[in-house]
Amino acid sequence: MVGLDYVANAVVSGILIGSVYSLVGMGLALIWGIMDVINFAQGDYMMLGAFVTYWAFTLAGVDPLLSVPLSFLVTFALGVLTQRVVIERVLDAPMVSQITATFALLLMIRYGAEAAFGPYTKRIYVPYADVIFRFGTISLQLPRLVAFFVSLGVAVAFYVFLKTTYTGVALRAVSQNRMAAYLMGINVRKMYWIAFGIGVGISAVGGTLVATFLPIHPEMGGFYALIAFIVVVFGGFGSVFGAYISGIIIGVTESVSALFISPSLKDVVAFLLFIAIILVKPTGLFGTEQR
Amino acid sequence: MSLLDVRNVDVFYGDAQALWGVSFQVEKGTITSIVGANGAGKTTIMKTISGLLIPKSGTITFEGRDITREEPHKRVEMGIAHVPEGRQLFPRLTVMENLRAAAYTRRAREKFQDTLEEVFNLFPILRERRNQLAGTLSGGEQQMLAIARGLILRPEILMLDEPSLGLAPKLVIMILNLVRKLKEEGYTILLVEQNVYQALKLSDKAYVLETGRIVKSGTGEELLRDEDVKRAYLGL
Ligand SMILES: Nc1ncnc2c1ncn2[C@@H]1O[C@H](COP(=O)(O)OP(=O)(O)OP(=O)(O)O)[C@@H](O)[C@H]1O
Ligand SMILES: [Mg+2]
Repeated sequence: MVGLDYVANAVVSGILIGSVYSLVGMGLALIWGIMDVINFAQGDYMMLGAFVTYWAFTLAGVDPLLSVPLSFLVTFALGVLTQRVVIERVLDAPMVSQITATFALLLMIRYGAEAAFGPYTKRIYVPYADVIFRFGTISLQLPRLVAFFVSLGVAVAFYVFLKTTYTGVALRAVSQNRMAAYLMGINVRKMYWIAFGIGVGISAVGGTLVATFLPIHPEMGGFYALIAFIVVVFGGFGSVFGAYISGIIIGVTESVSALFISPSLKDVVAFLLFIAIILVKPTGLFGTEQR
Repeated sequence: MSLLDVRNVDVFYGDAQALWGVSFQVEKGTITSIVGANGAGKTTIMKTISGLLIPKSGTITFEGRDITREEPHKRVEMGIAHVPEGRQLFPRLTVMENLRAAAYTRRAREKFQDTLEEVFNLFPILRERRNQLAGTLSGGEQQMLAIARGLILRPEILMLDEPSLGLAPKLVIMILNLVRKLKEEGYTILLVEQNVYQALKLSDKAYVLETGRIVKSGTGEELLRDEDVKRAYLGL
């Protein structure tokens, strides 16, 4: 029997790691929802965020948490560039061309990083890495707790941006009716730059957060991209906030199931949950029926 | 100089030609109608003016500037508003958000609060429904919102593509009265309307379009008396 306190611990740590999955998934969902493009390289932009943080810390001693804006801005700029140079050209192309293009991005970023940084696992040792909080029987590592709150902060900021700014409303308008957006004087092309930039930037913040408590590696994007895909489908395709919740659900599922079965199977459990949900509600947990 | 000058415009969908050497003008402060059967190319003309379609040949001049190849959002910034056929709202945005989406250009945003007040006075129901999702409005309310969005753009020319389509007779009359009122307030309007009789009565100038070609033009009154027009479009 597994004690209740173990389960409680697993739930909490699942929520914490899940909040990072949420960010990676949100970025993917945003790009998907606005442009109908599936970005296979999403996890690799996340990896870039992790490495921005790693190098800022290693070379300049910048605290990983302070590098959150840096990580966002660097990948945002790369995202805008990617949109202008690559994605824009395949937006109206057949899906196969889009998949090929973003898959090519994946290869270039992933193995470019590997060539540049070496195929090694790297770690950031922050001074507060081993600070542990205890609430009753639940114990929490400080970096993971901080990661959760930063992730939540990013999600809330993004929500406020989408709801209250002219650009946010315009982004949502573009995702719902591109033709009407043109007629409202919205610069659709520019909205796409912003969408891709923010989309990869948010995922990169996930990378930064992960780097504070897990080892990073140029190929780490593969695993997170897979999770992000589950998150997005689970959350109802382009639904950005559905993605946030489902990221957390997947984190919890993973970490609770690891109590009962071999930890190496925990991703399989996430996929099983995914398949179960899709069988019951093909539009995802928070998806709308129309589309 | 006309506000809008369309000259010898040929437009294609792929290989299929939809407009053939179309020319017409819209004068400031007038209502100009385009009359034609289904599939004649009325919507195509409006899309070409708003920049959703680019002509293969011919020119479009607006306030003396050649805009033939200008991007759509820049045309809106110049004052061209197109209220499309079938409303084309943002269904999962609220009424208010739909209006804000139309205040994206500098031209619209500077005056947004004032225009919003005017628009809400014109359509009080929209003020009541401002936090409701556009997709859940009734057909009439949706059409009002579509027109309201066009007004938020602060246009020099307002193009209305079948604004009364699918509405109950009472609402049709309301929309047509609104068009007249907008003209009195100084708007310039390019109108496509299924109720040809009503449209021609309102119009200072009208053009008849047949299979992508302009075959006739005149004042609204002239066309109302025209035998061909009577037979083809007024069922007389
Ligand atoms: N996207 C498209 N692709 C191919 N052909 C099109 C497209 N849109 C319109 N057409 C064709 O162009 C011609 C003109 O269409 P258009 O929509 O401009 O007509 P309309 O006068 O607005 O008709 P209605 O009164 O039915 O709205 C038609 O023959 C139509 O089939
Ligand atoms: Mg039409």
